[in-house]
Amino acid sequence: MIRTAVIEDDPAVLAHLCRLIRESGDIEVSCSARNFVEGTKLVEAGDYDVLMCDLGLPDGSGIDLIRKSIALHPQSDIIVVTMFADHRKVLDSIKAGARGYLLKDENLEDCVPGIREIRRGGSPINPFIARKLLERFQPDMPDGPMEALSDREHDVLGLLARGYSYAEIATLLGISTQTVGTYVKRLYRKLEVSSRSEAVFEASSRGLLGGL
Amino acid sequence: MTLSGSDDDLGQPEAHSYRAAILAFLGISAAMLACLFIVWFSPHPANDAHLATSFSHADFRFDAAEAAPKGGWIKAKLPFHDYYAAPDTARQHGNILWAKLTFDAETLPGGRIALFTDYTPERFIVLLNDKEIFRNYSDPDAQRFASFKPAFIPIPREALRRGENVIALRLESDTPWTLGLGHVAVGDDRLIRDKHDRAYALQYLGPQIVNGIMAALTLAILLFWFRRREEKSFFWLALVGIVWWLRNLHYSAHDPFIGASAMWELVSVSIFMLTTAFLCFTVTVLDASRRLRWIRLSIAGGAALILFREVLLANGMSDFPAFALLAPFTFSLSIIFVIATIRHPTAENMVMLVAITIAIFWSTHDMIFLGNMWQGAGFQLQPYASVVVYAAFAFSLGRRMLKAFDTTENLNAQLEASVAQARKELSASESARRALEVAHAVELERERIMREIHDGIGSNLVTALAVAKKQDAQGWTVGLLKRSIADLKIAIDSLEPSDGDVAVVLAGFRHRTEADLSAAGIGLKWRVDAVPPVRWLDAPNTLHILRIFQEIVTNVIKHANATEIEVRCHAQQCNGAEGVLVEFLDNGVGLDDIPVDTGKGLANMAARATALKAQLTVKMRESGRGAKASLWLPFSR
Repeated sequence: MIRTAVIEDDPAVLAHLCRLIRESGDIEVSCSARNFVEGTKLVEAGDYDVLMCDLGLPDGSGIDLIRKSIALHPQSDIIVVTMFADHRKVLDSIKAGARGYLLKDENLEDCVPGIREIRRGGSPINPFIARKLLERFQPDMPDGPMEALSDREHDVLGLLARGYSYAEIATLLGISTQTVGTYVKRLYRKLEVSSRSEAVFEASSRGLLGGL
Repeated sequence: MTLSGSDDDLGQPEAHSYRAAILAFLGISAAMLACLFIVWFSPHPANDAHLATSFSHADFRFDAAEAAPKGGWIKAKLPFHDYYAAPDTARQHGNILWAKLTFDAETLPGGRIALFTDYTPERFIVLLNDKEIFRNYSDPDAQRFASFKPAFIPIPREALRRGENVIALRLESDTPWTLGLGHVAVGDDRLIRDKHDRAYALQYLGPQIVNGIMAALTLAILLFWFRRREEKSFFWLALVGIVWWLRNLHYSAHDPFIGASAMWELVSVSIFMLTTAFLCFTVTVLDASRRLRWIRLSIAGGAALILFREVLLANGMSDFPAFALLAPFTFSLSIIFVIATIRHPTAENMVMLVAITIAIFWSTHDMIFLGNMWQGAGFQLQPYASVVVYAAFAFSLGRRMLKAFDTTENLNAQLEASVAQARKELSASESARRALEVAHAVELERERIMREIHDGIGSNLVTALAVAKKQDAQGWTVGLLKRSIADLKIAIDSLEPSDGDVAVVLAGFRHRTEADLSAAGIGLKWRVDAVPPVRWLDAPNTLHILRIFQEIVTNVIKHANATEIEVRCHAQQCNGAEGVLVEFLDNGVGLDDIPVDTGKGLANMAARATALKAQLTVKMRESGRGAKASLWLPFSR
């Protein structure tokens, strides 16, 4: 059983999500929260394999909860629950450590295969995010230390940005669909690391971390 | 800016002009030397024995008497300058020297006759057979100064007597040093006049002209130095010029306001000052290491020699040793120039070396001439050496200045170029920054609108859809809500920056519609190449494109009864213009069975394509099965 925690302020969406998860058979809802304060306690308790987290909580930012979860339970996976056009927020949560996203519209049903996929090591992505990643990893980006992409990673990202699916990419590049998902996860990891080192770089260059 | 002889980095064309400068200078120097040789070796009219008598010897006696002494004469060679043995004797007799020349009137030619001598002291009287025939002064107290001015004295024929005649000269000076008598000749008026004129030009007028040139050059250098005090070599060169000018001033200043004795002292001492200034100039202009030390040493040496000379004179001794000690100074000077020229064989150094060499040769000539060992040119060359050396040095400094100016100008040109470059880059980065600012503002506005739609209408639609589904509302309600959400998504996606990448726009479109296609049981074949950007593709145009795509796909879902749709995108020419072609090919029923209401959708699509200045075609596939909708977008409109 995959233990999943859900943090979502909209009761309808929360109820829907919980129902969908419970109906899956192989996934259970271990705990849930409806605001930042409850969410903090939930994260601190850490009773989950997958954390589904809404970003726009009434009393705080879901991004902070994601960071906290990554710090306390790095082995847990995080899926961001968001509205359909929040690409920037999705990217911000990937930087914070999230590895998947779920759109809060008619595709809520996708949450179950999404949770299974993320536990298998894959990560969902959409062309908008792929494109933003491509921009971020451009070799001549002037903002701070940025780990370079391998040629393969670059190819994968390019195809994703042009709308190709994991399966199509797998066929085109002669690799398994699983591997494409792993590439994406690795790209997310690079973004997270580089974002973190960017933050350190920025802090140290502003003299906030004097001794560093 | 500093002038330095050490770093000469001449380009080829410049080296060429320098070579020309050296050749010109050497040519002028050679021409001057040639002129002197012509003068030296030209037949001396005095040798014409039957027209004139040149005296090789005369009788001398130091005596203050007003009339020629009757006896006690001592025979001596002409010219007579006994600087180093006679001063005491001269002083004892009020610096008055009598000279006596005897000749036979029979040897003289007929016609007018005259006497010529190329050197006399300040005051002299000429007596022929004890009768005064000429005197060059009226006031014996006037402090005139000897100046190498030759004398021409007509001899009245009626004063001559048959046989032996005696010419006596009473030579008077204010110092023992200028006391003496030069060459003397008596003879035909015209021949003697020629001799006189030649000597007048070369040993008297020439030095005056040259000293005038020196004054002008010195003034120029001095003025230059006033404007650029940091150029120390100009200061030392000006000092050399001033001292040298003072040294030769006696050629023109016959009545020195400081008095003859003081003037003589000045002339004597000036050689030490000149050598000192010369050494200081040399170490400065050649940028010698430990320059200041050398300058101090030179000044101390010069002062010591002047003092030494005064001590010698005060003890009634000859001052010759003091002058002899100048030799090492001059020698070191020439050695310094030789070394400098070998190390840096530049035009300036070579010219200066040549000039110095000429000056040393000419000074040697003068020493031999004044020592009465060799007549040489028959006059002192030193005044001429001054202008040769000075002109060479001014030339060298001028060249160096020009070179420095060239360097500065080059530097200025380079600076100007780099400033222009920097300005260009700055303006480029400024416009880039502005573009970024605009992009950022657009992005912010897009975010704001999106947030409004997203959180407002979007959120409500999503909630409505959830409620409708939960209440199992009529299928068309759910369908309408779904379409509304899809429309909203596409509108918002059109605001997403794509940088004109049609493949990216297509990708977003796929992301939004794939669920609908798979719900309708239609498979998707994706053949989207990377294509160059369509620069004019902004948000409103992107929305047109997305709406056209949406219309095509909706038609396929609704009417085509297809099981697969293939999407292609690649660069393609159309009527000779470059652009991007997007094609949607389905395997449905084709266009024959298209219902009437689709016509409105097609008209909408055509209107959007016109607005885009794009080419839209919808037709049957060549295979006969299914339809093909193509949209071609030009790269530039």
